[in-house]
Amino acid sequence: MLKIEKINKKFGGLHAIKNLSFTIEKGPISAIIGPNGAGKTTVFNLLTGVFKVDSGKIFFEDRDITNFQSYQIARLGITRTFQNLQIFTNMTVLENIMTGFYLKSKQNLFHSMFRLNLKEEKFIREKSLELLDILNLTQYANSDTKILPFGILRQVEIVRALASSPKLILMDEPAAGLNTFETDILAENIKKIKDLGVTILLIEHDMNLVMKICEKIIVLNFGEKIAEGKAEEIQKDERVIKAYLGE
Amino acid sequence: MKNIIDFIKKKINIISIFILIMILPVIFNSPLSMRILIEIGIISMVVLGLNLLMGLAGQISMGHAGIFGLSAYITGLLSSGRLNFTLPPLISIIIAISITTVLSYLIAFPILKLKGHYLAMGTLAMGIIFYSIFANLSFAGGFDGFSNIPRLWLFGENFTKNFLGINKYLNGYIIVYFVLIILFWISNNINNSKIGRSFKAIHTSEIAASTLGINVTKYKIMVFTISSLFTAIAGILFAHFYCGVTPSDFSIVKSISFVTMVVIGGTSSIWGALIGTIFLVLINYSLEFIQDFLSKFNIHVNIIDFNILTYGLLFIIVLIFLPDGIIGLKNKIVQLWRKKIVKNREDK
Repeated sequence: MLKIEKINKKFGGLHAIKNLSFTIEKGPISAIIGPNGAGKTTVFNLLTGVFKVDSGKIFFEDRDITNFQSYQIARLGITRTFQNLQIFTNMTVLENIMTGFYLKSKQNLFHSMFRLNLKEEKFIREKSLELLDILNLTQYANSDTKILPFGILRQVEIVRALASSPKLILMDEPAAGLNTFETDILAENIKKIKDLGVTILLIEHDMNLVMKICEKIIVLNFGEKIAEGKAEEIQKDERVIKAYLGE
Repeated sequence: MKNIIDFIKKKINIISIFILIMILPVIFNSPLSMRILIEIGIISMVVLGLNLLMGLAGQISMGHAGIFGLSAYITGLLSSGRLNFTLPPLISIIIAISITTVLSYLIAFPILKLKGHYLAMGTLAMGIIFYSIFANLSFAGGFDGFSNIPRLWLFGENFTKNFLGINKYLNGYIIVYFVLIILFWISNNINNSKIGRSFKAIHTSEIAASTLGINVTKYKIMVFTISSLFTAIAGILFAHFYCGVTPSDFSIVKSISFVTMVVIGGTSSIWGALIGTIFLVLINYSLEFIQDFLSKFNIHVNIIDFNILTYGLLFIIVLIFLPDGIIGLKNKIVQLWRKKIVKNREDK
């Protein structure tokens, strides 16, 4: 579904991503792991058009999306969540989710100005509540996002990403800052989302979570791929152990 | 019957505003208070547009007086007989609004590439450029501006004045507040729509907005153009009710006062725009009374300097103590009140 071919990215003298290639299949949950500074988030930023690649190609469903704008990539069905939350704090939870339905709603400025959108608004509202219900967040629907705990907001961000009905969701450290209880809920939720037919690629430091839910793991170190495979293979891989524990 | 009561309860805000707008000209029917009411109405439109830009989309414009002036000048020049040809006001109005909106759409492309302070500086420069153009148009009277712009009448001058018995103030009041209600309705609709949510999304996180498929540049340009459209409508009403324009009506001080109104009213709600305008316009007029009062004791103050001083002080006070403006204050009081009720219940 997603194919990356020999992408390179330099920030000044820093060669952040070196000749990275991998593919993500439709269906299973995959993860990118690696020590701090390995370039994981940079990969996400390249995939979602926040940064432009220096060389190499990115294909999504056999379509070349290299150096597309963020919103164009979103239109093709790739969306993401963020390591440092990017919740729209000037809206309620429900409105956040409704914003996620941007691509699905057909109304234009004229409809919005003269209230010709009431039917669609009602539809989007119902759909948003349904999505919140999947992750058991209905009770927070009308809450102000400024006062909700971090763990809830992470889930809200995931629902918002889900609302744009993506084919692929990139989750950047979804478990960062969550306690063990919240991480368990997150693992459940990620599985639920997978069952909805959405492919998930995540970056994660919480190895328990990664080993538990991911079927494919890609290990990065200093911008290079050092291993790729199933959880058990990765755990035994010498280069991975070296990267994490040192020589 | 029950349905009607429910409806009234639901729309109590709107209904009370309607009644207020109908009663106001009956109570305050002196020419001065009618002038103040019309001024509040016209400036409210600008502030409403600016509120969309600043409150919803989180951008800023320190040059809206320039856009306000541009539409006033265009319609004034076309209809007052200063050029070789004279157009009827109804046509010049349409031309002025279209030219101003299209021009601000074109200006929005380069200027909204700027962010934060740079955007403020860029729009400030835009305002100054417009002001200098107005001041240097020799055929438009230069610094003195020009007058003789025809008044806009509800149903033609004769019919309205003699047959309906509506004087020029009431005539202005009706037109201005009719347009204001429509613009308020429109901005309320935008607020509760996909477009409004996209604006709000851009306000807090451009990157998150774009990963949801929102084309950030397009929406920034859109909100600037809508806000300019509101301002252009205010501009033509200004020209046709004051029947004259001077460059100093559209100076940088005006732009700053618009921004002050938005901030003082509160950016979190469109009601803030109206409240901020009413508050600041009334302060403006009360300053004139204070000036008159002081001059009795032989203390003479320059009204413009006095204004700037007051705006600055108010701005600082509001930013420190009421970051959400007067609307925020109201919300705080409501919250405290609710807490008190809950507490009282628990005590019992």
